[in-house]
Amino acid sequence: MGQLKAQLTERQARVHAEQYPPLRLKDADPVKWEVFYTKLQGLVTNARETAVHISSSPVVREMGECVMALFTPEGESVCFSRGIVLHVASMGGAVRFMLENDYEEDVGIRHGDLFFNNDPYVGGAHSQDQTLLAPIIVDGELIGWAGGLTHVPETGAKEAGGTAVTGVSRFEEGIFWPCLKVGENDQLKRDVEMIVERGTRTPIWWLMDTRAKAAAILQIRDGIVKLIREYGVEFYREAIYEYIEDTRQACFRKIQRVFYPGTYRMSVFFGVPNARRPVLYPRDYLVRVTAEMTVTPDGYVSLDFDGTSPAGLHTYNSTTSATLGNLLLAVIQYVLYDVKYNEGLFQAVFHPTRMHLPPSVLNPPDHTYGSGLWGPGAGGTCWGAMMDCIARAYYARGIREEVTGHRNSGAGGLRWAGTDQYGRPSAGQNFEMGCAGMPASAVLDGLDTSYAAFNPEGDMSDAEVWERVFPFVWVGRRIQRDGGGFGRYRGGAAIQSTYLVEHVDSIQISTSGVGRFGSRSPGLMGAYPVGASTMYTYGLPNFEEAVGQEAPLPNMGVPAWREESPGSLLQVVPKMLAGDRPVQQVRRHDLIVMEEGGAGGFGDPLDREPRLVAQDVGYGLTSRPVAANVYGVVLDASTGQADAMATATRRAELRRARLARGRPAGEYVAAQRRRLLAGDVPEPARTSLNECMATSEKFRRELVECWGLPEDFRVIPGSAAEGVA
Amino acid sequence: MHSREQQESGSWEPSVLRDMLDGRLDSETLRRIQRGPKEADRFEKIVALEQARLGWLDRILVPLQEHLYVVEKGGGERVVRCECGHEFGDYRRNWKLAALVYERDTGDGEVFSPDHAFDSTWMILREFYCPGCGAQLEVEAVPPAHPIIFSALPDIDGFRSAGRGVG
Repeated sequence: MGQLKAQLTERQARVHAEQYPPLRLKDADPVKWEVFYTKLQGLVTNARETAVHISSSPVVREMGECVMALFTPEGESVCFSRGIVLHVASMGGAVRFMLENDYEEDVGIRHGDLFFNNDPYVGGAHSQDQTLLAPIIVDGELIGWAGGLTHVPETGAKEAGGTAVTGVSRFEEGIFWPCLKVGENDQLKRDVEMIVERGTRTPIWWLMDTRAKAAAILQIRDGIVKLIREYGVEFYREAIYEYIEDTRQACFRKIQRVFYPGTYRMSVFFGVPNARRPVLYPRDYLVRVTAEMTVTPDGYVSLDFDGTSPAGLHTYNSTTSATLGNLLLAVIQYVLYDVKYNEGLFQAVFHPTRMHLPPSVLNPPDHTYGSGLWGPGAGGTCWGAMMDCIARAYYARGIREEVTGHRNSGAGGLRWAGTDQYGRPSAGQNFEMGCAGMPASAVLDGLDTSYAAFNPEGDMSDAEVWERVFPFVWVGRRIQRDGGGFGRYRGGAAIQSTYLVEHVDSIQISTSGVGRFGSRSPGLMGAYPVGASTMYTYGLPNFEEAVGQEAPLPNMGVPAWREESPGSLLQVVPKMLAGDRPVQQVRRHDLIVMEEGGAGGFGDPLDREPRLVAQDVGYGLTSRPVAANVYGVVLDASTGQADAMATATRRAELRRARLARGRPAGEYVAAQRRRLLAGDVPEPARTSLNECMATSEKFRRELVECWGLPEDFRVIPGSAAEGVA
Repeated sequence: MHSREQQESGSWEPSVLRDMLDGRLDSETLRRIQRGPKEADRFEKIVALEQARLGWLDRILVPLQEHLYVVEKGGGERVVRCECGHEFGDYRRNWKLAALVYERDTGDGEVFSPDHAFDSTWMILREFYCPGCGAQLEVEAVPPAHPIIFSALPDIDGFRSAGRGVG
């Protein structure tokens, strides 16, 4: 066994046994200790800026999907740059993979080597997440790793944009290299690059991103060597583990103070409507992602995902690396945002002895399952389930200002493939989801069109920038009316973008298309979830004539546009719903309307301040029917303000209507029991519940106990619908 | 105390927290509360504020969620109670099993417009109302026949044994 592999085994055993180092250096000289950390942090932060300025990809330059980090010799993260911090979890996995697979002896790890990984079962979340790692070797001893990751928007997958929406296994998701040595002596190998040139549609982004990361991580490596000259290698060796331990301790202190101890549970669902898609195994998947979080009074957190749907033959699975990254994002953005980001977070919150992640869509049993769309799929959904648990633990403790609902839902960007306006082969994905809405909190509405939860640094970017690389023009970008979940506090509204295909005769587009098959952003404590977000395409058969006569184009959802532009000369003919057909060929002057992710609300909508409802109607954020029927607010026809008396009457009427239509739970349970015994459950719900029962005794017991079913109930009877396995 | 001093000390006056609960706080002070350290006695402060505005005297053990509290009755019984006074029974049993339930097809046109509704064979809404006052306490977005979710079981004794929420 190589020395590094032995070190890894020993370190993992210590963490498992919860044997952590003392903070000796910190106690001895806290100022020196913090200054040194700031220098490490400065190195990775500067390196990230280097990478962003070298990359040619709008995903890095405009969206900021880029992160740089320093690791211990065993692959534990020490510090991270800003950027897509999801990968605090994932890059270190590549280091561990190399050590566990004897790279030290069989491949060789030398000064000047560059190792590339985009195998999501090793690190990263899907094949677009591409890591480059450089060993840091001082006086012949490996003392750490510099790492960088960018999201590369084209990997040679079955469909363009790095993600095969219709893929059923990972082997349709493009080129993947598990820790391949792509460079030696600080130089990238030309023969390796040939694979990219011949194997992807737009190789420039992959190739330039690799150069960008190489420049950045070599900058980190050389910077560390200089720092060691100043501080000494002994100080460095000890300090890097202390930073991790300091974070671990800080996490415990914070959790003790802000969470009410207890057990919190949530299940969130998303749909993969593959029975109606051109895929190899056409069956629907209705995926259940469930989380149970237990917090002890002394700040220990246990997580259990037992009862989550099994992995499926689709691209919405989440590798373990993606799952951990998503859970971490929930934690570092909403709870532990004030600690040093590093491996200590995992030791505190996701410790192996307190984490139960059985084989499932969150932890596929082997490496063949596709994970290209983990974000709109299982990975992003497990985050939402955990956020619900976090929100309730905060609420009970009185930390109301931190209560936040589920992450935003969304369509997952617009992807394209074909020949671009310059006559070149082109493929990619835009980032309108960079302005998705934020969930409501217990004290505040969610921000409208705010950010992409998985990439807080990312931004949607200017339309004019995208129009240079993308054969579409933006006809409109606007905040979607009724685009956030209705509640006492309203969920942040989605962005609605309208595109016109221009400059090319025809091009292929795709999106993740999970919109109307499940809301991944439920409401909290009485609020509604966000409505379905999806993509529609339309033909404009008389475009030239209508534009010649200056007829306005739809710059919003077509139903709303028809209301605002009655009698328009322009003919708008529906072509396709994205959920039904996520990959489509569109033609010049076709119109695409896409909604990117609003989020759920908080609290009973009838508790919302009437003044705020009137204000939202005035701003065009809430429609009049929703104001009247969901919020129970009556607006004065002349002033547009809420009529206090009429509103009170309307709300009393709506509460009475609830009391009239609501059935006592006992009756409801009895009716559900009868329908389950009779097999009166529609597909794909029946198959989904049956699969969860078959793979999780915990879930089976939950179902049996909830509905009062016979103890031996194991299958909801009835034959599967056609096209559903 | 000025709000900046309160922010630095992490100790907010009850009146400030009261305004936060009621949605009346100015956004700048709210931002300071969000950014500042979390005070150790926040739980006790919030419970005192909630207790003061309720129309009944039984002691709040923990605010469970909007409108609902776990309270200790005279005989030591711990029950979930709505602020209107309606009781849902022992807190260790899911309060939803004592609520009114309405299963909504999102295509009914009452909440979502047709182009934002969900396919009802995949997802329905399950609305839970308080039988006493008609408050909408929870909306589950689940597949048909999915079990009712038991969202939160607070560890009241554990919390008190750690010296919090006592007295």
